[in-house]
Amino acid sequence: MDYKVVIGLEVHVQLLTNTKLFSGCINKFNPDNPNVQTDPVTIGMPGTLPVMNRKAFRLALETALALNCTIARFTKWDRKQYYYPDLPKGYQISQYDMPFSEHGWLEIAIGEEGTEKKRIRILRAHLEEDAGKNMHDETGKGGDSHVDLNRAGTPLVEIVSQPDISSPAEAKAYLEELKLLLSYIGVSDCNMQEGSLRCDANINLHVIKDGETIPTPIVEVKNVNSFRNVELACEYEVTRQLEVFKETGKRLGEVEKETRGWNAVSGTTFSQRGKEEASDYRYFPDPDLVPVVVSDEMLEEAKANLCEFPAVRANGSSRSTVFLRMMPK
Amino acid sequence: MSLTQADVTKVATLSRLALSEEESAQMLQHLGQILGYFEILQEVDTENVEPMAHAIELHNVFREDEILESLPREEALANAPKTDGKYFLVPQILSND
Amino acid sequence: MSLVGATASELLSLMEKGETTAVEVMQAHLDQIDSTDSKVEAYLHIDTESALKKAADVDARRKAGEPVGPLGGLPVAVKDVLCTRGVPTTCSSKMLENFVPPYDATVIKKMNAADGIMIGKVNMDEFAMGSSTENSAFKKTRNPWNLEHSPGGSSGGSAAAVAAMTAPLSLGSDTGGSIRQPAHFCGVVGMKPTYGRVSRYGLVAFASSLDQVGPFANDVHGAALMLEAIAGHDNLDSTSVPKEVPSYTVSLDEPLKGLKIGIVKEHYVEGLNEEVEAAAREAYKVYESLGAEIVEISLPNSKYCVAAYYIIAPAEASSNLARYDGVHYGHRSESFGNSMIDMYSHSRGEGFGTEVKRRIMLGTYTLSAGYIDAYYVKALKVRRLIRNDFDEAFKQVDVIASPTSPNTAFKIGGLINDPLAMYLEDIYTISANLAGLPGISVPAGMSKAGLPIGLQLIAAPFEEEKLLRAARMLEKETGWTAKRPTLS
Repeated sequence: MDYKVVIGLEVHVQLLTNTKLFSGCINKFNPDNPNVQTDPVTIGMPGTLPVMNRKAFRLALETALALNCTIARFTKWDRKQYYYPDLPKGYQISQYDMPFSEHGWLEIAIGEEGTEKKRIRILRAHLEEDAGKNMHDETGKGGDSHVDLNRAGTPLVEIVSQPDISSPAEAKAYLEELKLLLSYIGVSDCNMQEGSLRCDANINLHVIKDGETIPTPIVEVKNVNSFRNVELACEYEVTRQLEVFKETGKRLGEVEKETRGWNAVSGTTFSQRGKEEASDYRYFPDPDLVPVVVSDEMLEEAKANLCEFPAVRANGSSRSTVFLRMMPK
Repeated sequence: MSLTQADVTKVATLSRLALSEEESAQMLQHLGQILGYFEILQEVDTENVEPMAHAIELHNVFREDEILESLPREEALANAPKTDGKYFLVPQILSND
Repeated sequence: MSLVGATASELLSLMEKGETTAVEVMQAHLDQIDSTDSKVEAYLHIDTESALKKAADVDARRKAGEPVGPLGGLPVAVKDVLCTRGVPTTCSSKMLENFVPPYDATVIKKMNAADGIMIGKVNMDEFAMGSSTENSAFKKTRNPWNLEHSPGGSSGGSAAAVAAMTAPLSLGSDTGGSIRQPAHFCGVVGMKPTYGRVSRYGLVAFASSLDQVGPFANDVHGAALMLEAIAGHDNLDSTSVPKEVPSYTVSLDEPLKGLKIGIVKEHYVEGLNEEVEAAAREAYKVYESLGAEIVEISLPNSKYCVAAYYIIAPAEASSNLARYDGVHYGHRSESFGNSMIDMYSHSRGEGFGTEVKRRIMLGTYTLSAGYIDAYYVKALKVRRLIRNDFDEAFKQVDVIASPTSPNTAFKIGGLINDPLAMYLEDIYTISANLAGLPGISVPAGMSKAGLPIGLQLIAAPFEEEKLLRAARMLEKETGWTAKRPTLS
């Protein structure tokens, strides 16, 4: 059976700021000393209010520019509402219908020699706050889960690609290229082990049958912790989805979108049971924050910061095109 | 758009509110009455009117990226219903939550 | 002269002249709490020791000729919706019964810096949702003018505390009339500043785009003094406006020349109590006698303000109150099944009272998929039209006068089972919140039954000075603010 692989990646990168997105609380990777990097804003205490970190917005702009995105001149923040113990306010401050940037692309090297170039289009990149961390009792005795808010409120840029990635190897190449670029321009250290870069993959197949292209149901694989594992998880899904299609013939839209986890030990994905209720995030504009109007000066400043990295690499890396384009004439 | 008991149940789940049967029945009656009153807005022509989410027209309010003191852990956890002195504790989170 | 029932300026003048001390003033008001609050039930928390200690500190500084802030040691009752470091802040909710904030609200910091002394935290409708202070999980506050009647709400405790002479000043919050309506019910001055004039940091949110902190006082000067102390830009509140605060007390006694007062033709309809209307019309005559011009204006969208408000405010509230889930602070149920959803739902079901649940449900519904455009977005558009009406009106007039609320204080229990009727009581106050305008309620009469009647004045954004001066003109001419109840 002939088929094409269709992959889109949602990547979250933590920004390298001193403080959190909405308060002066320190932003630092610190998993061993829980709940020491909080303040009333981070804990979402009654009466607290968010105030946007100027540097976080600037780094987000730099990220989007490096990804060739169009910067919106008017942008706002919305509340994404759901209940989870690592989300102290009961909502995440995120961006819904007016992200600060859209329509970019990242060029990756493909082919045997790695000499061919392919552009992966980027749908949007937006700035939001990270949640804290839940740790579950692994003994199976049903003990309490632990909540650490050190990470809560860390600035994140969510980068959503178009489903332009057509193989597990390309998925890995995209992530590698993204990491190179973002760590190179200094907006994030993109350390997957520490969670400063995290990736969810949306995968399905376009099966060609009797001259007709049939899309299979989209599966989201969450929380894969290395580039290699993203590749492996995608490979596993391709095989699995093909078998499911052969068995059931179900196509996109005929079943609900499934979320699966990745078990690195067994090298398999597993179904994470669907939510009891369909999620309804009830997005609405956060009344505690005001919009940002991106001025020419802000754009110039972000571009100037990107140009501070003088070493345009000579080895033909695709990134060089970004910097060449941005160098002042 | 008349409200049903099923709607009330759905909204109560979304709101994470356990309601007694009596509360639920009263909710249906009161919410139904209030939503009915909102129908008055259908009279208003709002074609080409920009929604007004804020009462002020501020934009670009930023703070500098300067570190302020964190709360000592003890204070951070002081109001929590259950802790082990290091973490906030919650019942085992099941995958269907 | 009795220290209780005296105005802020009278007390300050006595203290400055050395005829009394801040400690004596504080003690007199604490004694007044002792003798009256078992009837009025305004106070939730009193810290006698700390209040007297702070008063002694002010006295020592005053004696030594060191600087003393403009509030000079005056007692201030604080609505229990403002976070006070180390002092319980409950919002009159079982949910926050044991909550002790690790920080002070900005207005509390400013009040302390101005040497205002918190005498106690006072009762309110739970999470500021209500118009009667009956929605408190702890006690029912009574109207000092008639204990069978409600003090109004949601800042009923703040209004009753001033009316009962247990504090010359108090702080409240106003989301849809929660300062002005209780001021009208209790015969005191109550003011809601322009949205953005006073920091909301540390004000436990009900509806973020509508909430403002404001003062109560037993005269207009007290309100001006208190507002001056708490107003101003705050880096911790993105919606606080960086605009200088005028000295409201300095200009207060200058009457406004050529004052144009708008009266709204849509306001005088069925449901408005005759005595309340008569008092308002009498006040317009007083203004005319002082040289003001009364101009009839139209606010064509005013009849939609209650509907728009009761969509927008609960929508924001449903989100603002999501944080009370029994994880990081607040009530956690003892009895729930074995899932997080159960833990959340039972904690919230037990921790919140009926009105709060009703508004969370309402707001969740109007924001949910399939309904958000018909309700929430529609209401935001109507809000714009309401604001446009005011912008037009303020091209013609300086202030808009109206009754503060259609009736005098209703009896406790009178409207509690009819939420819609209760919501309609907010008809005159709500539009100022939707449009972000400053408003004040100033005593303007008394009903035959002996219940106070207030007059509401609304001005264009940041015209608090004009509003206070206009209110002062009425106060001076009529003397209604000097009335005190007999608490027998």
